[in-house]
Amino acid sequence: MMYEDLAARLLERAAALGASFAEVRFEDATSENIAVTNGRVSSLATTRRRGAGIRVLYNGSIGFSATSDLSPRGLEAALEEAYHAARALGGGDKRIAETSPAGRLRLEGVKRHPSTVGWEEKLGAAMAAYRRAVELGGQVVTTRYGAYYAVEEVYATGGFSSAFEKLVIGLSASVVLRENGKTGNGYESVGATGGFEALRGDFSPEAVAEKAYERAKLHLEASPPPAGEMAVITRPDLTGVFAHESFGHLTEADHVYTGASPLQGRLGEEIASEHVTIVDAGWDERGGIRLLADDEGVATRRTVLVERGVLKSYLHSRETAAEMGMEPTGNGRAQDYSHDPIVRMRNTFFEAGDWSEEEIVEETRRGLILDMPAGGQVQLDGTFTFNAMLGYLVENGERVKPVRDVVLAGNILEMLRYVDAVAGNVEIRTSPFGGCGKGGQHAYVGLGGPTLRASKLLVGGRQ
Amino acid sequence: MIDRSVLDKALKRALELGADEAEVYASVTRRREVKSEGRKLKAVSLSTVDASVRVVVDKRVAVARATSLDEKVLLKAVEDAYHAARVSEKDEHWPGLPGPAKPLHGWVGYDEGIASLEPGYLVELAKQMIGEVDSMGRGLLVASVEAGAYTSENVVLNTRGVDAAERGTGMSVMLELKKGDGTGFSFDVSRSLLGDVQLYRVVDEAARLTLDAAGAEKLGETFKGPVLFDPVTVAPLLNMILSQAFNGELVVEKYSPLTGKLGEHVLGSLTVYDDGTIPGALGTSLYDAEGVPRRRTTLAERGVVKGFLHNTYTAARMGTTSTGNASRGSRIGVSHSNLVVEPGSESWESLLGGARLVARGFLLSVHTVNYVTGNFSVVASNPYLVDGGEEKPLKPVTLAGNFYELSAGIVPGRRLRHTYMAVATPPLLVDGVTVSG
Repeated sequence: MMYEDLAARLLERAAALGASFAEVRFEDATSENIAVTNGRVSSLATTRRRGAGIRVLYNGSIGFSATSDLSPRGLEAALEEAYHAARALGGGDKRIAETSPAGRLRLEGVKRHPSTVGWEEKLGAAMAAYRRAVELGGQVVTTRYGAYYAVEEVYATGGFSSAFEKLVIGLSASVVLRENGKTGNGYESVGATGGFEALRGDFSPEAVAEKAYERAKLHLEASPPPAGEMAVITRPDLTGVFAHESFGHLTEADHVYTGASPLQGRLGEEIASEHVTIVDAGWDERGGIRLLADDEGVATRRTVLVERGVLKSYLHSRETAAEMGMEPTGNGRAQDYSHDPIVRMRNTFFEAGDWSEEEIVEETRRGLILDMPAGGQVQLDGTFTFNAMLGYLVENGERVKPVRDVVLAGNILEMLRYVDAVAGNVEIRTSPFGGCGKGGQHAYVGLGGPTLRASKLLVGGRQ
Repeated sequence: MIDRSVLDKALKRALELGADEAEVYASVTRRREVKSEGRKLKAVSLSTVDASVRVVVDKRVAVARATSLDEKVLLKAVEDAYHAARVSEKDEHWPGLPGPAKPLHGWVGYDEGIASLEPGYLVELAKQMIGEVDSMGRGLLVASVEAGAYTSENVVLNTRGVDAAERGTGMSVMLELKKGDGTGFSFDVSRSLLGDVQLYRVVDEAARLTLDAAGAEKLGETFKGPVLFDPVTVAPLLNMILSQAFNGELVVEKYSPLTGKLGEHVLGSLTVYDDGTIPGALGTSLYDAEGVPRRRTTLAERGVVKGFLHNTYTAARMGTTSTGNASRGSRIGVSHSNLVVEPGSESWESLLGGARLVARGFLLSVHTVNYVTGNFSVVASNPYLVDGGEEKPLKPVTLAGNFYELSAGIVPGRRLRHTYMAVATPPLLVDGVTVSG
């Protein structure tokens, strides 16, 4: 561990200032981004973020500061900034939950880490995807290669120390087709915690391009769906956004202990149908991002949020765990060294049920089956939205007509009760391009689940 | 102050390595922020550095960024960018970096009052907002409160002689409230010091939206009709659709639906322009991210497409000159400075007379709007049904349509409001929106 001695001195200094708790997090992170747009390299960039974030608890108030100056003097100045920020708040009753550190953890099994692969090969991957998309007939095409990797060390009062790695690598393609005044827009994005060797099979440049093209073609033929309440079947990609937006955000304990989340005080209550089990995990063998520890240096345990319809747990940082007298769950995450850790999700997904996707479609009289998520949002009254760019209108168990560009909305306390069929085809996905935004901070997350049906969701259609 | 000598060394190093051209951008931001989880405040105070180097070797371009202006770090970034550029593909369209030019206006958005703020001032503002909410005695729960201020300094230097430096300040306050199953949100943002006046307005607006939402009813139907958008509510939609559609890079690469539409009538009666020289506006600066002076650019005049937003590269691709709209992230792109929809002549009251629904608060999922087609399908957080001149609060509803298809029926109101996305717009009455809830 590189910064052990510097950290020890800093934590001593914090104690001398009167801080009851202090934490210093060193992070050295690199993002790589290549984009090929219509055959030209429209981006070839690397960003290195290296610095330290310091959190101090003084007289019951928390102050945070950060610096990219890792000299003893630079760190001490940042510590004093954090200390003065905490003091400016006056007295408070904030605490930090005791917990054990994750310790020293390495990502096992990474063969060709992106830091060891040359730019030629990375550009080659984006170019290969581009060529495949054009070969298929893509008219306007952007393909990307992206990677994010970091090493992090966290030291805190009480001899707490953790050191670990982070990594996500991926490819994406976006294809636009125009025909007879209509526009079709398709994309695909894949990602994994792994080396360059992860970019094969369904994650190969060619496969990514093919998926984006197929979707663009279908999007071209599709029209806006009807508006109003109806049955909605979400395919695995979209189910992940449903899990994240409809539910995950409001289990984040910073919304809970303040009384803002509609899930406050409902642990042990049945809030969803018996088909619903939702998990937030640091990693899962079926895919997504592999997070060994959170940015407070706490091990990422597997947190079952809903088990067969019953609310089981919230997601915690060390701060929110202390507020609620619960255990930290390894969800204290920060965008980078210059941000304070807040409660964030990791890989959030619905667990498998015993239907198959075809059975669900066959058993649907009228509704939509949707795919290709475009993000979503939730607000504290429990209203959530998530968007799908593509799907089919289903009538009498048949996919009858392609539909596109639609928002799905509902209220968290009602909607999970309407989940009445869950398939077994769980997929968990991540990406170095997108992610989740909260409080001005970005986080890489994983999303997933199987195909499932909600018997009633509000569809923002146009007919 | 940013040390120029280190930046000069970086440029020199790039040329030594064999680069044809190089550019270095340095930005130092000092940010102070008091935010909260519920009523519990937390204070953040930090300085961050963004150093970015663009290197060109034989029309091959690469960018490397770092978070330090330390000489070793910066020279390493130059080397990284140089080696990446060498293996990139040649771009025959590369026009060269811009040359030096003088700014076209003199307004500097730097407020000494913000630069010299003590952190205690922000703590007081946050506590004052909480106190105001409590004093209303309406059972409102503070979900979060925020007061922030920043000071920034940035410099762009390039090997063609650009030397563009400026500094700026900004301040914001935000409040989110809850009551029962209703929520309301309000904020203000400014280049200069915010005080009691803005703070009371934010508290009142958030409280009004929340109390209305707490007693809201479900619409219970689907209709297609005229929706009146509050400026703050519609600004993110305009940002997603217009800012992208007029983005020269998306036009050059044929993503924009306005590609090839110069001179065509596509936006009803709307007049839209970009202006980076408006005194006091959020997006105003002397220069863009390449050191090209900000200016005013007409984008659409009474619905007819007149121009696009450009950086040096996209302008050259379209045979024109930069409009001073270069932006900088991990790459040099294009973005609006202040995007303005020109106001019309109708008052809010007269627009209300023609509306069936009023959309206040914000639009959930607005970031998912498809700018390639102009299709939007979003959820309005705080809608009101207009019924016999009365406004009746509703639970959130979906709003959907295609912006271009609806544009002929858009009527702009009289009063312009600058919003946090550097989009300035009057209220807009939009006919033909599909509403469901």
